Amino acid sequence: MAAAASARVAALTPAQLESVSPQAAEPAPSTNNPSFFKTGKGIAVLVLIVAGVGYASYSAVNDREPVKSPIR
Amino acid sequence: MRRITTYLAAFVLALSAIPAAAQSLTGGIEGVVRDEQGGALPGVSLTLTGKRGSQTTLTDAVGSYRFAGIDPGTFSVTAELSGFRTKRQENVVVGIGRQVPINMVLGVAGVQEAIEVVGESPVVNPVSSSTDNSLSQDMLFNLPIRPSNAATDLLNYLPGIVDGAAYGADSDTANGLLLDGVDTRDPEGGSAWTFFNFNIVEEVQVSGLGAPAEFGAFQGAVVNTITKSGGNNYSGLFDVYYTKDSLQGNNISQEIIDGNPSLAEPATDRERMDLTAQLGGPIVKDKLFFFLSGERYHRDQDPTGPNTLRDEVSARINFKLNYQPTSNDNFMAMVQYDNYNIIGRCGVSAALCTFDLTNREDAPEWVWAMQWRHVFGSKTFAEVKYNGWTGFYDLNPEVPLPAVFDGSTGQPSQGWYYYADRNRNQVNASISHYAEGFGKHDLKFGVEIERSKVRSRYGLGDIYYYDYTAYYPSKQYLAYTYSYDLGGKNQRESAYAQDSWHVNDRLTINAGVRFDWVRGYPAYESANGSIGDSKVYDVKNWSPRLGFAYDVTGNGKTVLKGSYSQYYEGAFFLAYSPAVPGIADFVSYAYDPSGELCGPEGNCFTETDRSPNPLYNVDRDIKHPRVDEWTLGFERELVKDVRLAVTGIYRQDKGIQGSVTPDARWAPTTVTASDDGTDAALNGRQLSVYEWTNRSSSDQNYLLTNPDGFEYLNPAGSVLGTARAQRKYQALMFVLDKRFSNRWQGRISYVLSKNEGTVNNGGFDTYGSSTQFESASRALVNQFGPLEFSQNHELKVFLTYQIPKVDVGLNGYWRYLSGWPYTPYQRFGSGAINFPLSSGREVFLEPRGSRRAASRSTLDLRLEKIFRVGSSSDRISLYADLQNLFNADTITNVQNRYPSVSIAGFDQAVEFGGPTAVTPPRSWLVGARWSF
Repeated sequence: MAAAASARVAALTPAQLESVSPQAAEPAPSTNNPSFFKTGKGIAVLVLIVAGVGYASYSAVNDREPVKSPIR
Repeated sequence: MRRITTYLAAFVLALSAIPAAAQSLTGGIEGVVRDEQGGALPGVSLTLTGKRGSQTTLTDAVGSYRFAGIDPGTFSVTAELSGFRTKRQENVVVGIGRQVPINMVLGVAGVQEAIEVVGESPVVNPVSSSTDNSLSQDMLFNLPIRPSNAATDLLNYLPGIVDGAAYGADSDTANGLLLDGVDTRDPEGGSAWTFFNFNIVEEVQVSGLGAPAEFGAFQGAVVNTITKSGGNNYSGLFDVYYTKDSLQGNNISQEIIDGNPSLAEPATDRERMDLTAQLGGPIVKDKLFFFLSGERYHRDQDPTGPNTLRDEVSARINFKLNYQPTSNDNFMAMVQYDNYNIIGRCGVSAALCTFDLTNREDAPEWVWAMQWRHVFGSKTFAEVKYNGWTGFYDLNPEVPLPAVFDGSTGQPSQGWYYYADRNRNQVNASISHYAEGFGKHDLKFGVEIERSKVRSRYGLGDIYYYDYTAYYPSKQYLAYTYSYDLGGKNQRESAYAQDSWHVNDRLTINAGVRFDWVRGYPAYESANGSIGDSKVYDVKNWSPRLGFAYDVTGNGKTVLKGSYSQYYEGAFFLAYSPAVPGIADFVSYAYDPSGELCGPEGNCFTETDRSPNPLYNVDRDIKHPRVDEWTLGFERELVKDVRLAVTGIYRQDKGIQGSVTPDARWAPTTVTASDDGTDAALNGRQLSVYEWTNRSSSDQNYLLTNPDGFEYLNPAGSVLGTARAQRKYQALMFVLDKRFSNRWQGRISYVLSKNEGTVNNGGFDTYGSSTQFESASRALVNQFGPLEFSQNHELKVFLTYQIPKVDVGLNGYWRYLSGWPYTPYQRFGSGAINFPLSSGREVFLEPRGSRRAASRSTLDLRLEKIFRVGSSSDRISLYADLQNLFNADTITNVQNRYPSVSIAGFDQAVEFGGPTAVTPPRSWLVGARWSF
């Protein structure tokens, strides 16, 4: 049984081995590291998330000002 | 032991014990572990590993195991037993409401290495009797579907649903819209209230055909949207897409302009940008996780018509925490804040709309959900949820001057305001239990308590008047005042019980019953005085659900299934709002231009008439709107990853509500259609209609009831005709699905359907008041035929392919839809048909749905260049969406009032059959995203 399994593995091409949904794969080990935010990627993520959520929060207040209902 | 990883094309499933999970926001995994001789293996340690850690269980005496109450996601299952080779199954995808069967065969341990097996959940569900169509995350991520409102627009990509009308039910208002279990619909009438970021969607499950008893308060489809959440690994998405006017085409031909000059200038996006930033991950490994998302959506439009500014901004922030102190307890808390505002929303017809005639829209809201799930063991888990939302939606005039209509120029002013306040709270509790006895049972019992509140205010700001002095110097103005302050409280308690009874290896019976108690109360003190707390609406509904699934071939690849279900609509204020005080008197005025009647205050308006708004009575025996549904079909796995599903559907509406005038008496009369139209078959056509003979003595008694069977009487009391409030939907649905593998996925769906009756399905049509059954001329003349949202043919094709070596994604969505039915009607004057409201004098000149607009065919594409960074899930991509590739200029809606309709601001009228809406032109959107 083990030999048959090995033969089946050898018969598969790299494209077939990789042909899974990009969303189904397990995340990369590097994002499991507690010091993730000290890496270059982690710093970029931190900057983008702070900027993105910060901008959305700023917009929620600032962009409402011109239309704020007079009865509220 | 060195592990060898192998990938097998399929794995063998036995069907000895695969009861279905109760349909909820969770799924499960279960199976049997055997040795190579087929003997059951008790005591095998099964470890389930997902993004939030691991949990372990043991097989019982017959080798069975279960993991219940699992959040949807991708997992691996590892089986270990001393003396046997360890086996692991990777990429097990658990979806909403799916119980995934994973059976394993363990070989005797030797010097060989352990083998890992890659497998996937089956494409066919052999135990569910419902027809479930889902939008996988692959589809959401890859396809050029970018709904402007994810809450409602995602539905339209699914078979049997077009423009929000699901399986013949009311467009938009009949669908349950759940976001992490929160019903986000407007409690006034069921339309979508909460919008949410398309990118926060983890999975969308859509059901409604054969839905189990735990789903209620809907009549179309129920959309179960699960939002993303954090895990042990950090995952994120940063996405931006953009378009501008130079990236948009123009598909308005001269022929269209000749038919309707107001279409000459279609709306264009000067700029549209959508920014999303998301991150999820651990706070405490294996215990506490977060998900955070921020979005800013901005659309700056030059709308059709004289107005050149419509600026729309929506900012949305989502935050979610998942806490699992033990493997048996799971807490979730979610909050969303979004603020939707518009400058330049037209308050009058687009053709007349200058910026001064627009409104500003202010609409912030909060949405929240809290949930505790406790797993008592492998057989039992309980869930308690509290969720709700609160918000308002205000429209204020840009220029708050008194509203005037200038009869000589046709130019109105604005001046009206509208304020809508809403809130909704709901508590759900349920317990799910697996039991054995006369087969295997997957039981679920639950209760729901809903409290929602509605307040709607409308006013004109001052006296609204029509200036006809250019035509009638001596008659001056027609002026009136009108406003309302209406409020209601909906209360609903529901309870349900359901059993997915696995009778034997092949047959599963899904049975359930649901009880709903719906009540409605006035909520606010009206301007006319206190209204107390008297209940105006009270119905109790029992709805059975029964279905079966039979595994024809015994290997889980071919399933015959069928169901019978009753679905009652939800608790909506509009079902009883005519019985609630709050509408001010309609007061008419005369204006004296000479000023002689002006008093010291300078008030030149003299009240000439005051009409109190009648309060409707509610029939003590009123039935709540309901749909009875039968389905029969089969599903088959044709080859690996490919599923064919064929379903026959029959749905019939019962308990359609409406309003009647019980004391009215009618007399037949004849009206003649206009001679001035362009249709020779309609010019001068004579119709038999009915005039209200005793209107002055009977127009204060209106009744909310079920009008089917209501008799219209002549003055002598003889029956002239009987109302029919009917609707039915028949369809044959084919769906061919290919799951993502070997770089591509696709779906082809074709629905052949017939949707006809006497009550339309445009939205809000099965409850509340309307003139359809108040006026005998409308109720008894040409009412039966195809409904507004009736598609004879519906074909949808999705295809996504990742080109190897260059790593480019090519994705497309094409749909072909039959044109909309429409019916010529004419509005006759009150001298011809004695009825106060003009809508009660609009008579169909031909049977309903006698004409049909042009069919629609549209193709959207996405090209995406992928750059892999690090692991396979870490990617940066650039993409471009091309919507309406062939720049189709299909006329999607036509003017159906005979002989024509004037467009204020234009000398030319739009003739019957002329265009009123066209497919949006070809446009490009470009975007970039980083996901990991």
